[in-house]
Amino acid sequence: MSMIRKAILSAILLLVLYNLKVYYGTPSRAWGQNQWQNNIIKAQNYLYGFEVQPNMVLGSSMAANLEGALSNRFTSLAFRAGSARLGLKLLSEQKQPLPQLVLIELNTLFLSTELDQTFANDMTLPGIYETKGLLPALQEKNQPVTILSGYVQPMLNKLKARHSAPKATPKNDTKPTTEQGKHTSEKPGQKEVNQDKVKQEEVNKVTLLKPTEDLLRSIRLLKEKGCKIIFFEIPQNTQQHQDATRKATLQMAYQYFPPEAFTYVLLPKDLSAYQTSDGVHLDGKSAVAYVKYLNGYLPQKN
Amino acid sequence: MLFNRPEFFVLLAITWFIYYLPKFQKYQVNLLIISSLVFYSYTYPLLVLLLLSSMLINTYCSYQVAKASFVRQRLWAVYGVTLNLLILSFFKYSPLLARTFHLNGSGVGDFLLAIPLPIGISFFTFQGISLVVDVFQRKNNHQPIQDMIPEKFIDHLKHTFLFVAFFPQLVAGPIVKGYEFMPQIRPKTWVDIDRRAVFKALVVGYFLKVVIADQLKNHTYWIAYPFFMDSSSVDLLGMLFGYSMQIFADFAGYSLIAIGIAGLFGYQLKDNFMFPYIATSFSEFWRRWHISLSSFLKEYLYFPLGGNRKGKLRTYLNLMIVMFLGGLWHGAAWSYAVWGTVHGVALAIERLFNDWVSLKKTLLLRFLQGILVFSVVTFAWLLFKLPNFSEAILYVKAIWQNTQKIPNYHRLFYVLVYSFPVIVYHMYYLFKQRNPDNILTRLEPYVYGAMIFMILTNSGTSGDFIYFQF
Repeated sequence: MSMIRKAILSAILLLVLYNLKVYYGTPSRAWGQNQWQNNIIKAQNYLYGFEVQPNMVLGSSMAANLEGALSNRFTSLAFRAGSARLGLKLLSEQKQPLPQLVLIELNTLFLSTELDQTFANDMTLPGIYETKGLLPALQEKNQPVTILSGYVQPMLNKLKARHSAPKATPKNDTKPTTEQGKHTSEKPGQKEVNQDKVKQEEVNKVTLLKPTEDLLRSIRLLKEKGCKIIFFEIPQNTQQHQDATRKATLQMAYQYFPPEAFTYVLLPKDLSAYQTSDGVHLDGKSAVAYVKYLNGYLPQKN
Repeated sequence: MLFNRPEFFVLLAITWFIYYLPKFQKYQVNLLIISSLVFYSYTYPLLVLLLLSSMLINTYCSYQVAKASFVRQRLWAVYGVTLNLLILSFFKYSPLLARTFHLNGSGVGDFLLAIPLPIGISFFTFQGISLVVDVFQRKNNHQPIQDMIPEKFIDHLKHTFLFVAFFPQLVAGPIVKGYEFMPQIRPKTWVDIDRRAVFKALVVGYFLKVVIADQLKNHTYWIAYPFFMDSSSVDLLGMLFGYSMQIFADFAGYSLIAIGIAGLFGYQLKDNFMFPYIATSFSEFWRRWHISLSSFLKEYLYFPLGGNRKGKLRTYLNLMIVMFLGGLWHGAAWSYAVWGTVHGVALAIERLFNDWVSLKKTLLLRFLQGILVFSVVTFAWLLFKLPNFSEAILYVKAIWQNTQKIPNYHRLFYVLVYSFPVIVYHMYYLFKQRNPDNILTRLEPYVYGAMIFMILTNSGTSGDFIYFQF
């Protein structure tokens, strides 16, 4: 047998065996190797119907941070380094029954960043979408290295715990950012380096994208089909609440989605009750407190 | 269009299917030119006009060099090289000029800053230069040029278009020289495909790109300001190591895919990488890394500058000049020039050291030399990832200062897992050199099978090739 034939046959054999293992074995853990892969897994879980609940939350990493506190009747299409636009795009594919309630996170990214069209298209690419549905081994959550890391995870956690000294929970809401996608804030001590960027950001602050036809259509369509739509804002550091882009985003949202027709859950009055872990994302306790606040605005049956 | 996107596979399949139809054999060159133009114009159709202009200039100049009288041929060669360099300078270095002389805000400055960088320009202008210079040198040395310049202008036009725009190597190389490629242009049949070599190149190429580089990029992403400031020293070193592996997997992977795809159409492109991380000296590194660029710079710049024939001091200077310009070729920022100069200095010091000291090449010494070369090369890659100097300095400072921070073991785990195949790839080459008939060669088909399996099941999120920006 030729070398090429042997290689192809062994690849097919491996794929068949691995597919059987994934199909009949214990389900893999729910998270991927990095935030981009987590986004793909989240999208696939929804599109292939693994995680479809009657309610849905769409947004960025800030909304993704609330997932643990939200009731399990919510499907999350909140993407790190993304915005609610991406979730809306996937929702408009209508691969699954429409949710009854859709929460849309309003933040500075909602109307100031372009939709990640490649990501959205790749999820439903004809041929690839169907094949991945048929062969779970090809889905991102079942990548061999992800499965392998599941076995190593406890060891890595132990290692981390051994090195972690007890630390005070950060109270200061201007703590420097770490892995927070596009929600970058300035860090003390690096002003010189950041100056150009800050200037550029100031210029960009008031430049918002006009909502695209796609966005308008998908939100209106959801409403026409009986989905209740709620726009909501999540607390972050005080500086960002004064941000011109936030105000402009709200104004534009009101213009295209009038408060008479859509529900808005704006920031809680007592913002001091909410702490962030990095200036942008709510910490665990504050996330729970905020979800409680948000629940007050949701229809009771949800 | 990217080699790892579905639309590329559609274009490739259609072109390949038509290419070998007997009825279409005489149109093979035309077909490849059309596919190449579709490939190039897919994202920004307007850029194809620049490519066409470059091809026309090189066709005309090289044809004139071949046909003109002795006195005029030099003039045409100078025209050709100058026009290529002008195109490259205008599109690639105008923004650098504006930034260096703080021209932003002025009309001219804003115009220069707004000039877009056409994808692949550094590659196709170098190939144009190669064609003109090769024809000139052959003619000057009274060597035959019929295999490079056909009698009819229209045939030469088609051949040059294919040489410059051939889509497997159009946007990121390997840089092909005129005398290597032009003689290969003739009708091809199935037998021209070296199936085994093509298969191996494509499997290893795609494995390196989509399984290694595309996965590593999501972990080395955090070598970005200000994210890295909070990482521990171990993380920072780990990510830098990962980036070193990533850039190799990305570019060597791309080159292998290009070689494999060219092979599908019966064209042989030379190897662009030869296990560079086993190098035990900087000169060896450059004989193994981006070989097509190194040999281009050697043939068309280092030798004309005098190479090592004009004394030691001049040799060191020539090395510096070549590496400085080689650095600037990579990107229009002074950090790239510094990156090139770092390598130039390392090459000069190494030569100086070797001239003065003669050490016995023990295994331990070779190992230590290998570690030294790898470390310097890896640290220098930081200027690729952080072209802003101040950020690169902050990164190095953070390595020094963040020793007390807790490492991100999960990230380090993934960096090591995805770097491991690159290390094995290099080590196996060394092992195979010493034991050519080892038992592991029998397992080769299954290793290729495992790589195909990983390509199908463990690809990273699709990303651009790093060298596309150059």
